Amino acid sequence: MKPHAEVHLSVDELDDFHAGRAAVRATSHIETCADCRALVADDIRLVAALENLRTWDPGIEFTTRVMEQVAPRTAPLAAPTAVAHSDRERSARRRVLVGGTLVGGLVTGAFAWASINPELALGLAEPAWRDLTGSLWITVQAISANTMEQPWFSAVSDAVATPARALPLMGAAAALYTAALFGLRRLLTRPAIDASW
Amino acid sequence: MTSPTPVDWRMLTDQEVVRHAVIGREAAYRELISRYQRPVYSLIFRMVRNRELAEDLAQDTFVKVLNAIESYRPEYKFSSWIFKIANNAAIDHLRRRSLDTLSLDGSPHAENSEAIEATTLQVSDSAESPLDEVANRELGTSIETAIASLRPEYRSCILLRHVEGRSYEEIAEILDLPLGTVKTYIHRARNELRILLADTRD
Repeated sequence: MKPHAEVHLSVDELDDFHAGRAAVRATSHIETCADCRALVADDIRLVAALENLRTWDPGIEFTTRVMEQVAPRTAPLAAPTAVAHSDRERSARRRVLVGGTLVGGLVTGAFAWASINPELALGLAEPAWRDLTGSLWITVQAISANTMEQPWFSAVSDAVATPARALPLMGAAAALYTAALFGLRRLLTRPAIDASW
Repeated sequence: MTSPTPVDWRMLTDQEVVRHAVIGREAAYRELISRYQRPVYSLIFRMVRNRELAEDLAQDTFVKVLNAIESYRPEYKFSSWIFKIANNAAIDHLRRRSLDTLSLDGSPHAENSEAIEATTLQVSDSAESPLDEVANRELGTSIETAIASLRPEYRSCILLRHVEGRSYEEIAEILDLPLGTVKTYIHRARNELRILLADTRD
């Protein structure tokens, strides 16, 4: 096997010479290897010649000709005009308006009546409120009891028993959630047309 | 109605100019053309080596890009997108041309002297404009001739890397090639160019 310094320059090492960051092995190698020295010199000359090649502009009418073909898309955005509605749409809108006014009137009336008769209003509202909160509390208790009876509950409970154990799990869950959001966003991206990627 | 606020286009990145183009500002379209007409035209010209054809293909490139500007994905460089379309236009033309090889002596299917004459390629009739002459003289230099003799894939790579100054990663994106393949193509192209130019010197 050849000693390390005798191995000729790799393509990446040759590139490093162009970037001005040649490694010590490469610089010491070209001091002893005439072939690689010549290769580097030729390559540097070639790249310099390529970088100095001239570029050209198209004809003076180029922009005009391109714009003529894209002009329809560059028209200023039209101001939104009044939208014409059909008879059916007008009648639906009228029904919504009448319904909304009725509901609004009823709610306003109820508030007005309650402010005039506060004791009577509270007398009616309190039992209903008590029933509602009582039902909610029973539901919460039932869900908790059911969850604690599940076979996986003790394992999950152990896993999040201390903040040190819970944090990595919460991190992983957050990462999973973020990845899912990105995945969803990608799925919902509009497909590109011919001239795109 | 208020007129759009004046914009100093030179201060904007490509992505920002594209955003203005998407909402239909004509000045943004013109700015994109002004930024890319020279590199796009030069790339295509070096690929097809014909001034008028290069101008047509460059025009097609810009029309395609600007008409599809709404589909541009800002996570990619705009330059990669436009060079990709320009390069595809040039490569497609070169492929078509290699399929449509014409005989200087007329169509092989011509059955009589009139048909042969009608299908003969009239090389001497094409009058060169002064611009064509200048362009052809420039393309005739040894390095340009050497570039022209490279395979189209190598030519695209070497032009994008060393004339347009694009990174290996961007070239891989433009040409839809793996990064390693791009590196290999560029090094093979440089090897071929070194040999061709050495032969010319000899």
